[in-house]
Amino acid sequence: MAPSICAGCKSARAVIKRPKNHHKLCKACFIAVFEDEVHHTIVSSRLFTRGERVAIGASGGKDSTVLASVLKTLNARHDYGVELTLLSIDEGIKGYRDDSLETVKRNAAQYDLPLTVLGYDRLYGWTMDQVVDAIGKKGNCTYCGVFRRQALDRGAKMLGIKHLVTGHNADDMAETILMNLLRGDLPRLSRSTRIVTGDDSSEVKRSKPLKYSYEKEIVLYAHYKKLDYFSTECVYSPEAFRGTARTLIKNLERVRPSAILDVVRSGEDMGRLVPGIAPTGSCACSSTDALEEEVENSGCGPKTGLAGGRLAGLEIRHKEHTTGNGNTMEADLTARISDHQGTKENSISKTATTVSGGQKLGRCQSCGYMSSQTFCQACLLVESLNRNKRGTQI
Amino acid sequence: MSDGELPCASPPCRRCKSYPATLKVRLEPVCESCYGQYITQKVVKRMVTALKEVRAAAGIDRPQAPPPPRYLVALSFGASSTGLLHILHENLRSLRERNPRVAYDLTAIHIDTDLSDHGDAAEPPDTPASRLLRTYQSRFPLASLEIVPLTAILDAPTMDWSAMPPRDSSLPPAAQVRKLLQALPSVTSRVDVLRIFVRHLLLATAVEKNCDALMLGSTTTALAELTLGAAAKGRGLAVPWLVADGPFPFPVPVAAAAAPLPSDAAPGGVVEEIAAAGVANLNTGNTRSTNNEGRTVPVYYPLRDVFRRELLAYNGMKEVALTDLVVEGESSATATVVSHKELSIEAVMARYFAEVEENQSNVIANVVRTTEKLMKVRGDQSCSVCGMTLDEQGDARWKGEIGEIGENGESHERISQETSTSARKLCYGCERSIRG
Ligand SMILES: [Zn+2]
Ligand SMILES: [Zn+2]
Ligand SMILES: [Zn+2]
Ligand SMILES: [Zn+2]
Repeated sequence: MAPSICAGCKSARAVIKRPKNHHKLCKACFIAVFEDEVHHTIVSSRLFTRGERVAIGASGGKDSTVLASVLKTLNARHDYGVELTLLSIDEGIKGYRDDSLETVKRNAAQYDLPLTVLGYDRLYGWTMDQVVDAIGKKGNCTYCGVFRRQALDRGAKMLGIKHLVTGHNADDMAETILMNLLRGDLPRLSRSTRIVTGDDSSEVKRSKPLKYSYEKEIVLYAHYKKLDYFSTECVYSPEAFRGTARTLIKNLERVRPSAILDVVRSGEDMGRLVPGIAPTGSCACSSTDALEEEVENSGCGPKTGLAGGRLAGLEIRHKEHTTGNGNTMEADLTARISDHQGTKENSISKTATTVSGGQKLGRCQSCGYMSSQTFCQACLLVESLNRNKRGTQI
Repeated sequence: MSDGELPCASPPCRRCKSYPATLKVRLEPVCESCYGQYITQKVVKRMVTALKEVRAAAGIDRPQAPPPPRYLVALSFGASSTGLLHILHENLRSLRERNPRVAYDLTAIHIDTDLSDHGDAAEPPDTPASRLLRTYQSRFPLASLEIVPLTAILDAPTMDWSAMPPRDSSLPPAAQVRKLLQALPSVTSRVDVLRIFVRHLLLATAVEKNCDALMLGSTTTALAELTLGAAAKGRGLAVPWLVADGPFPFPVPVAAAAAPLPSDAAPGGVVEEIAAAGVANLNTGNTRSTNNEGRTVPVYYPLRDVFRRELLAYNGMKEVALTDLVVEGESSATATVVSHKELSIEAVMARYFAEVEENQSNVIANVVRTTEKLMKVRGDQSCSVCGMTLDEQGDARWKGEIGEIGENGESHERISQETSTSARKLCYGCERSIRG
């Protein structure tokens, strides 16, 4: 069989067949098309404004590395006029971030972008290792999830940056959509499909420029551009539906490669059919957005339990976490959390606004993060840690 | 059997306290008779709602003694539709005995998807489906059973062929349809388009026979599969139309019905999906009107509160004994996977939900209850294949955000050639299934 000719330049030999539309392309055309499509997404969604400072949530993994590389390229090529900076979080788990942080540091040099690494100690006053020392390894998954969820927002805020971009790809989006269908969460289905979450009233808006990019193409892009990334194993075990939703997506993709994008399209369309959701145009910036949203979309990020903010069932597999002291506090904490959850429906903070789906959202009075409570979960956890520390010191 | 016979082997039924409990309603051990009642009541509840709505739709201008409603049951010969027919048939029998005032006329229609050439014989051939139909007819004497061949789609008044690949009309009908399906880009496309054809024929038959409602045999489990399957095929906007009970938009031109036939195709016994239904209000303001504008056919899923395994248990009860009658298709959830290329999205979903049903049936019920709440929107223009509303604005936005490259980028020639002739009136899902 004769080698296929690239459908783009009609001269070079095609080396890839794109999963989403079967087009056969050469390496150069693939890179160009990949970048053009992200550019399209950015332009048509009016993601950026000139002069805006934008933090790229950088983990050293493939998604955020590709995002940083593409944004750097496009910002120069199309003169977006945005000021890009890399933002990484160090959970403070000895050894855990070493390799990925090294990768991010090299990326910063490679792309000539400023980098800020913020530790949990600066964000919360506690590193994860200290949390583990204080409460033992069993309950720390709660902290990890809650802390991780907010870390980038807190970090961006600390840097005075109001726009955070993350590397969520089409596979992540599709997975989130199926997961929200499986648990019957229509409001979140509607929110999670938007490209931009948060609005002018949020302190930090988030967006996902790669939301239409296939994970497979992201890997290919990184490969052909010889990007330097760190393949991390996800240390979190997936929450109940996340795992099966991911398996389902992979099976669908095998049967019909376009299925990932088709799910994303369906999710966006179904999001418009949710009662009480105002229709949005291509720029969905009008959404007041919610706290769990980010959690939903991070393929490897923090996880919540099934029903919204429930924290049950989280598990983390940091090998390092072998300390086993301080169990009493864990019980105390669990009680506090369930108490907290129990009052969820009733307590509406004064600043609460009704958002799509009728969920009441306000802001944490301590840190300003989106919260349906007076204080957000992270602040409650920190407070609980501090309280117990004071207790033991006395 | 009497309660004396099995002293300790089976505990007595928790409900009637007299017969041995051999089945379970949730965790409660019950006898077959009570189990049958439990299933039947769920269905009857839905039928009562359907009757009210059908009567209301018929108008208030018939004060007393309205004629009995006519219901069309889609019969695939699979477990679900067979079970539904059985439940309705038993219900009808008892209504006629005890309360003829609320009885109904029951017609069941099988769309014969067998496309082998004997289907073209001039005389009504002795096909497997027609033989099966005779067996069914003797089991269900109060219903009138009919077959419509899939080839009737060629003359279906609801079909607009302009957006489909050209057919070779020199071929016999079965071969035409066969070639058409074979030419589609994937197994999923073939199953998808086949389902759309079947739904066309069901709707057309319901109209032709002046039926008041079309009854589909999908269980809760099947509806959950349908929801996620439609989502995976880019038919998200159609989901509320496909899953909820109530009026379903009649596809395009309703000319005086020609010859369509109904059936519930899928071998697994689930027939529903077939057509994706539309979107609406999302459209641009094109107000081209057709003579069928706004026409709908009421569609109900009387088994929507029954899980597949519950229905299978019902079918297997001694008094019901449908298991031998039912034809289970190849694509059941348990078949061995040879190659993923040969699987359809429906098959992937069937496998997935078979597993979920075992461990988390509440998830399945939740999916269905939730998606029922989605709004049904309907615009002015419908997809020429599935009949669901077009969402031109959404399509434009999507192309923009995705950044599909047109002319100079990659090869869109194939698509533009095909679309140039027709006015390109396909929804996202049909576009995907027909053009890849
Ligand atoms: Zn090329
Ligand atoms: Zn807070
Ligand atoms: Zn009983
Ligand atoms: Zn369509």
